[in-house]
Amino acid sequence: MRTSTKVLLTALCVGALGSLAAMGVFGAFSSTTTNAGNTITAGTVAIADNDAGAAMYSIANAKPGESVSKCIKVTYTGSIDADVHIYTTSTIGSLGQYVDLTITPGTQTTSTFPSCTGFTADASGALYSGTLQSFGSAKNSYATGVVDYPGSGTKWAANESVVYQVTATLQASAPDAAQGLTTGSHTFTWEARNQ
Amino acid sequence: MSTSAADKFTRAIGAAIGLGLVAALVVAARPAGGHGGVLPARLAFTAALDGAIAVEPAAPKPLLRSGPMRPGSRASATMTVRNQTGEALAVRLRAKPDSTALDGTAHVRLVARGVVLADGTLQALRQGTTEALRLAPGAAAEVRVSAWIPADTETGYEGREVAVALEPVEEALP
Repeated sequence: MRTSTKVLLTALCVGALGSLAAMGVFGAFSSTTTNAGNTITAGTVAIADNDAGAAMYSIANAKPGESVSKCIKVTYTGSIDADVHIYTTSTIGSLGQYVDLTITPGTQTTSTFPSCTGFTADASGALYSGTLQSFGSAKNSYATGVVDYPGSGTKWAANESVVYQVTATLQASAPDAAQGLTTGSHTFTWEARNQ
Repeated sequence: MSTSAADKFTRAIGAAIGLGLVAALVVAARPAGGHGGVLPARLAFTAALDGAIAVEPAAPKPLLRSGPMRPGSRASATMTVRNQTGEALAVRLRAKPDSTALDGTAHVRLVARGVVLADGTLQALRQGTTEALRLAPGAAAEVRVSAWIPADTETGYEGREVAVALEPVEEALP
């Protein structure tokens, strides 16, 4: 074997061994794991009723003892469980002290605003019973509003409904001083807030 | 048989076996014909309600759960839409799919009282039905919901699953 061949073979062997050594030095095992698809979507709080913008009652020339009873269906369609409070922010006129107001929750097989046909009150009875004036002064914000839940539950979940029977009566004992007075226009508010 | 003849025979047998194996591999790896071997699509519909409109079945109850859907498949269900207000309402229904995966592929048709409220792609139904359902105070109507993948669809549905919420949008009639 010629010397040049020996040198070439030696260089090849050294190169091959060097490559193996380099693989050992620089080589490394590797492994990864990932967690993909992370996302956050905010929930919703949404409440609506079936009044289509119409008032429950509007009585002119009311007489002592005259009463009106109407039903409104309130439906929660939000995705987050919620609390619902009932209140008014309206200023009640001076006739309010002679108007008795009752708000009773219940169910109705078929609801058509403002009819109460087929209304069945919950066993728990009325949520509020007092004068309209007291309601206006005591239940005038979410914090002070009347709390209610569907049935015996403790939350409003999506697509749950409650039918409220609202009864307003001009007291039979209203004095002559009540003549010509008015409650003024007032708004009942059902406000939902997430739990 | 001479040695060379035996050798030729053996080679021929070997070549035949080799070709047979290749043919078997090609046949086994070939996709199934038609759409039978392709993952099907699936559609689920729910009906949302709001204060003015009651629906039955209402979400979260399913309105329609299609089986495996391939081109030519169809699924149908019926829902009841009811006006709970004291006003006459024109009610349209619009689709809110949870993805666009079948937007241009799936077709939806809504029919009530013999009137076609919508007939087009799922994507088109995102804008609402072209016709409104007129409901008197307290009145109800049945709405037939049909969904299908057209028979001439070649692709764009494979393995796709979409949940669609049908939402009512109403306006008061004069």
